[in-house]
Amino acid sequence: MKKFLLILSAILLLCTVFSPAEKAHAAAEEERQAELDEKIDELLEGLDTEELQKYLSGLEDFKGISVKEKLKQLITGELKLDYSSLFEASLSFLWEEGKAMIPAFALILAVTLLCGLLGSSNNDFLHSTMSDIIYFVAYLSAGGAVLACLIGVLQAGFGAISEMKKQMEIVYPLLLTLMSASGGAVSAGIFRPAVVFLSGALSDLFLSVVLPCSVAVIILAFIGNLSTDVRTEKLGEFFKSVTKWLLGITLTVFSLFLTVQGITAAQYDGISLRAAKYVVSGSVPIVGSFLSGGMELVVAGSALIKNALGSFSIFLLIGTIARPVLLLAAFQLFLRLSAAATEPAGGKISSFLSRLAGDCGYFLAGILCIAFLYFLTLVLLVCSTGVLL
Amino acid sequence: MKAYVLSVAGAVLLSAVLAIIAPSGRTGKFIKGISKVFVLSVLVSPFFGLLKGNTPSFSGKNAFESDVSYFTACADLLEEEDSKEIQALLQEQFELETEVTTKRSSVDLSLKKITVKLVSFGINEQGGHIDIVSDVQAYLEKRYGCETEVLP
Repeated sequence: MKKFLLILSAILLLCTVFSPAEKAHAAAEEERQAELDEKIDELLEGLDTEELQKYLSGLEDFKGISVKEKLKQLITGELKLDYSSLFEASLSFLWEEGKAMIPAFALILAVTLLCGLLGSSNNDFLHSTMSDIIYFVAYLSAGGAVLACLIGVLQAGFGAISEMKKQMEIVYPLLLTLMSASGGAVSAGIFRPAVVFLSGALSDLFLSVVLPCSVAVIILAFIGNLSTDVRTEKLGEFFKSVTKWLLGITLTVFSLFLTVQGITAAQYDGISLRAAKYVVSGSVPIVGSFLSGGMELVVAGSALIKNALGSFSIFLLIGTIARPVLLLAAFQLFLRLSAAATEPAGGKISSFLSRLAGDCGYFLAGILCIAFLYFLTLVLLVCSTGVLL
Repeated sequence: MKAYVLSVAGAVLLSAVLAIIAPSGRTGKFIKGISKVFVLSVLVSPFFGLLKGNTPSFSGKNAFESDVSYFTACADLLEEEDSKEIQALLQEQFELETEVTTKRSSVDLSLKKITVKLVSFGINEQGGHIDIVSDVQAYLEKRYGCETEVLP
């Protein structure tokens, strides 16, 4: 009996899978998919990506890339990321930057050893003033070597924030347009002032205050050890405090506000869209859903393009901040290694290098903060589609 | 900000050099004291500017403009779809052959106007043409809630 029931259910299952009704349904699905693909191509043609294309043409790593082609590949799933080669490229970059810092490391080590040797002969035949001068010159030499490496790192950091600001000004109008076209008019209205604020005033605040404060902390760490008469530790603490407060307030307030408002607005848009569809379907008993077919295609197509553009922007963001973050990581490693190597020689150079390694973290935090806020807005703009449909 | 940091660094550097080369005794103490006052004045100089009302401003762009060409492309697409759908609907409901043009807003993509040109009245009687025009107009206005024009 059990065997008979098993065979019967298997036969019924096979009939369901291979029945003509299922085949017709699958054919209809394929037709709808082809129609959607065609509409997406038409909508992509109508989207003005000239500014984004011009921006990409100016970047070394993205030259020759067509924005619309990449968006189409993202929508169809043809674009695949090779994570292993990405990891290898990052390690290779770190290694190259580390090798470039070896001459500076050798100079610092030599100067500190010499300074240590001469300092130990202070009481024997060198006057204390001469020792002060020798220490002063050694400190300036070591500091000069460190600052020479640091300038490139700081320039990369400032450049990254300027690039992120440019990207925001190009990408946000496109994303908001696509969001409005995909039924998220209220969400777009909510996000618009927030993204304008992020790409404008907030980015300028980071470029003009936060990053310069972290640079001031670094500079004051350097000059604070020059003379025992003039100390700048408390001034350095003041700038650190300003940086920490600005980062904390910006992250907390902005991200909380954006997340809550964005989700609420998306829920409202979703209910409005479903209510409109229900009204249209309800008033026409037989062909109601067919009436809104064109609108559904535009909404779905716009949503897919929006999500693809959001994903593309995230890749662009990662490409922008990868270099300065890896540079800073290599530089901090170099400073800590130098501090460890010069510690046995004695003197203040080792503690200066160690303190500098810690202070560079504020600069890194500034870059990562603005990158995180940009990333968060992109994710919210992309994910709002899931609530609407 | 950059100028301020550089000026502080320069002042401290100068003070350190003076501290090293200053002679011992009262003259040296006097020089060190002056250099400390100089560094202090450089440190507090921005606050005088703030007291005078020179506050920094961080205004950026005021607004982001939407891509009007995209909305226009969407509106064109929807107008094409709407025309086909309404033509099929009128064929089914009234057995009429029609040429339909629609107008969608390029701001919010809502349907603004439907224009129907009757090509053939099908099985409808010759005398019922005026009734057909008003029936079609009323039907479409009720269904879509927008301005409708039916041309016989």
